[in-house]
Amino acid sequence: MARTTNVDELIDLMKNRDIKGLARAISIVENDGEGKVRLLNEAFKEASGTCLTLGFTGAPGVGKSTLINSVIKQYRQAGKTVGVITVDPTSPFSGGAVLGDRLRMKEHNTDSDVYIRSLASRKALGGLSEATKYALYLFKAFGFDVIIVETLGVGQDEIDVAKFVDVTALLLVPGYGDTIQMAKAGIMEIADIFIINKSDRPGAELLKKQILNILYMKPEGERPPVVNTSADRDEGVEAVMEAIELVRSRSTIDGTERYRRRIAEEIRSSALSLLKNKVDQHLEQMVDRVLTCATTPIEAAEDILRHLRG
Amino acid sequence: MEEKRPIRVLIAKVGCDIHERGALTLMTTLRDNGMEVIYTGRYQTPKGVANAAVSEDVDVVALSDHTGSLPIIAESVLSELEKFGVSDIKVVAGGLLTPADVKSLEDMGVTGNYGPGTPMEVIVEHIRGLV
Repeated sequence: MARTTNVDELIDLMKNRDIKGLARAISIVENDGEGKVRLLNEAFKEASGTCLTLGFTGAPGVGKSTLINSVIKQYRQAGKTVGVITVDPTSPFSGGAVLGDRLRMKEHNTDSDVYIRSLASRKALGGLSEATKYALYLFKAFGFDVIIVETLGVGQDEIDVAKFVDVTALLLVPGYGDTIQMAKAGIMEIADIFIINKSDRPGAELLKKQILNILYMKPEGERPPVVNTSADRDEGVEAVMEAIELVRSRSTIDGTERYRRRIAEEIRSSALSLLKNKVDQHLEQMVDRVLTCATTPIEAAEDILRHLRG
Repeated sequence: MEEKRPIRVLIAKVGCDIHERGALTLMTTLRDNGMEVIYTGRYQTPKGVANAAVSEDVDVVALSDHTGSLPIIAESVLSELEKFGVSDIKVVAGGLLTPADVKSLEDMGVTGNYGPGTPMEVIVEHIRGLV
């Protein structure tokens, strides 16, 4: 079969749980292809409300993919189907990308109940590309029991993922920093679970103490669990699973409010991306005007907005 | 309308072959030429490669091998791709090849079939030409 771009055909393929349909649909939404809006609308309506969505974030090389590999194994043993979205950086110079996360999850390569898709970040901010958010809709419609999102290797302020998943785990490794580092705003605030990976290395216990030091300020029922793992040896993974269940049992309390906030975030992010495309259309012309001293960048921005309204 | 996107390539190594340098060099070269490259890692099965190619919706599968087994590898990967019901993913190959290997690969529809020392531009252009 040649690759179809027919939206009806893709929707049918997805309903029959054929990964070809899902794979093609993701490509279309990722590349702004024809039928994107219909696919996403359809997916939103079909989306399963019962699936668990997990986010794994952390700096490059801390072991996100390797840990996810172990987590997939746990869910597979429990008979759950698993979908994974992994994101690696796009080169700002060539536009190309090396997508290497799949390599760490290769033991699931022949399992038809595990679907792994690698996405390139393509200028995403916040560690989560527009395409990732849209792929999430399609994954939910496909009906996996568990959906795992692995972010780009991120730094201090890339916290988007937490807005779109049920449970966010932050991976750290020994040597990350001292108590002041733990107290800083941003990524340390979004974690529902702290995972200290590579805990076979020196400094793991110290890091755990430093994290707990900050977390003790929170009431016990809201305190994020801190877990030690050595993902490459499959150690500590059961504790990760328990932590996920613990956080899950907590978040049902304010489930409705959480869902409301997520929908708000989804609308905002889609609206901003549409707006960005429109603004980009006027950009070159405005740059010329600023360069010829006809206007200033601030005025140019207001001109563009006026133009959009008109 | 077909959407515009970077060319997506799966670089695959099947079976017991540790020689990774060619695959890694190709990986970074394709990246530098604006392609999105997924690497399976070593010691993969034909079924795993086909599954990855379909899941990742790639345009091209590039097989690398230095044990003299490319015709066998290509044949089994092609047959697994067929089981998935896809026929439009192009398969290219490179590594240690005898003239007889090249002949049998070409008969299967596998193109490229480059040996050691091939300039990278030749491979890049070949892949661009396929898509």
